[in-house]
Amino acid sequence: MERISALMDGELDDGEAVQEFKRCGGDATLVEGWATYHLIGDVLRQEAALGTGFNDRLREALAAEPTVLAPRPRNLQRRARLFALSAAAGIAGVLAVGWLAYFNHPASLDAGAGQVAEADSSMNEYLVAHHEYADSASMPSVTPYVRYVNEIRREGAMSR
Amino acid sequence: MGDREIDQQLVERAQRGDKRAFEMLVAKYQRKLGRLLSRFIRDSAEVEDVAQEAFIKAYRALPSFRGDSAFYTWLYRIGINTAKNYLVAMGRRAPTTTEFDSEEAENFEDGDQLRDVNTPEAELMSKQIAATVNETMQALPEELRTAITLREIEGLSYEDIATIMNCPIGTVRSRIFRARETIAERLRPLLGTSKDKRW
Repeated sequence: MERISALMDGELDDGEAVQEFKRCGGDATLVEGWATYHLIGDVLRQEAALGTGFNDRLREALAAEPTVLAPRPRNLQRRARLFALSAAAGIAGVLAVGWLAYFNHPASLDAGAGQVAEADSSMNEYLVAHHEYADSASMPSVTPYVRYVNEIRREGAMSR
Repeated sequence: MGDREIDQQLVERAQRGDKRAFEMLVAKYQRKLGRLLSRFIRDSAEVEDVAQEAFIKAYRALPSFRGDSAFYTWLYRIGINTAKNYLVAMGRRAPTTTEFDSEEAENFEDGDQLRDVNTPEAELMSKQIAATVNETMQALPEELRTAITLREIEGLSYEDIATIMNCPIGTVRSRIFRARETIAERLRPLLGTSKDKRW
């Protein structure tokens, strides 16, 4: 009953209060205590009471009323969790697509090739000479030289 | 959990079919509502009828209560509308909205002393209850009397009372409970004579 006293004073935390309301649902003496404590407070504040029999009549009238069953408000926590999950899935999708795009991008391939060329730069002149004289089925162009020439120039710059 | 949250919890439980939760709201607000209605309606029996009708209307309208305003503001609005309809039906002058709007209802504190809205026999009962409460209060140990006075009349929080009384909050909680329980013990035979006829 001490918790009922604290509950009506707003001095229980949310969890305790919910527990206490549950207990009240199954224990009429707790509800009676709640009612008596409120009566005491009202008398101390000199608030007039309604007449004898008011509660009996109201209870009878309430008992005759069909029980109200309001549609339950949507659970905000559940909605928040669903939103967080879908947001996380969206972000993960964007990151995956970004990762794939980054590592499949020609620029990143060039960067990777650059590393190989750097490790094997002693072969650059040979490869240029090879491309110059090698038989090619496709139309000759400058494109095949570009990477190697580029690497040679970059190596030269680094050595300076 | 604050006062408004407590009411909201009770409303939600009532909305899920728990009539006892609604009875707890009735126990809490019936005297305030009765006092409010007695400003428009002088006859005590009529005040009770209108109060009962207002509570029943509130119960029926619970599914539409969304908690946008405090429960008691909503209840008082229902009470005032019920009183207006009642007075119009009786061919009497109903209060205008400017006489008593919902904002005023929210802060409604009647400065009058105890105003009886009872029939003579109920008035006797009311006086007996008041006398029992006051006598028991006077007989309480000082620390219990101070604690419950600071809470019920001054409306202070446990923390503030603890500061004033220079004791832990747990002690304040215990003192207020013991004070209430001592008074309730003295009231029970009185209330038991017409069991649960008055909360």
